[in-house]
Amino acid sequence: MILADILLWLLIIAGGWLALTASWLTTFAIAPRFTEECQQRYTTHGIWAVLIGVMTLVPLSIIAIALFRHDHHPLARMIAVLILLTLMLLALLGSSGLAARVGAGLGSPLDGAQPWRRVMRGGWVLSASFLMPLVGWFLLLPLTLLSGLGTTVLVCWRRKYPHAAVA
Amino acid sequence: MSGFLQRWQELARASQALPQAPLPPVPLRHWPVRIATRRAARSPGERRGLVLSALALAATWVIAVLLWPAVTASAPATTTAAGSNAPGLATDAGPSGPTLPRVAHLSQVLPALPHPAAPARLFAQAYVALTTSDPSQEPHL
Repeated sequence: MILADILLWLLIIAGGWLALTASWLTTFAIAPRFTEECQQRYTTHGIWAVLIGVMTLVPLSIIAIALFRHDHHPLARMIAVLILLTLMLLALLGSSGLAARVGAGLGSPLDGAQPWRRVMRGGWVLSASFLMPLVGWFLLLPLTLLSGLGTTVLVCWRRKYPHAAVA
Repeated sequence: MSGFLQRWQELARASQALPQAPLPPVPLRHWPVRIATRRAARSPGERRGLVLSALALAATWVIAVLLWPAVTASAPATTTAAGSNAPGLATDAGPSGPTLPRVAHLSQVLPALPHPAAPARLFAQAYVALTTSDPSQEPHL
């Protein structure tokens, strides 16, 4: 393994780390209420988020891949890629709630005035945990993205169909 | 002593005259009770949303199951003039060209599924590529 390979992998890891944290921070900066709702969903419906993420991701991915492989029209292929990218984007949006949840667990006195620090701190810690060999790559990262997708679906669903007032 | 008793009685009377706040509801922790309570509290719109979402999800799964052979096919289907396509999958050849692959039996689909050890093999290849010093021995990922 030459130095170029080491640099390649190091930069890939550093880039992924930065990109994940930056996307979570961007989500919080643009839609803080959405991130907080996702955080709440993670607290109350963590397992459901993963299950709904799987139930949503699997069929849509199959449809997108089938469309890409068997329809050579550029528009169809663009739609297939768009489906996959949208799923990825939704997963990243929703997983900002998990970053906020982790950050809330690592509380700091500055969080009241600068709540984004919570997301950044949680994002750093969470994306660092993805670096763990095998467990981080094949378990934590996929579970985070799956639950992120599920959380986004749950939050959007709840916004469309708000909870009835409990007597 | 009597002054103390009198004062005590006054305090007791005053405390009884205070408005009695209702006790906070005891949270129900058992999941069947929680599910039943939540179900009873659902609005009609919420119920309709649940049904619609379940139907949409089921329809997506049905489409995905129908398209699964197209995902696992080794080569893209190319329809010939006779209507048959690439080996591996039979298709319903419509008048307007190739259509979705047709699956006659589940046994046609199962061999096409990816091997369960595929992620482990990929990891092993990546590990060898990272640790080997001879570039000629590096497998292509």
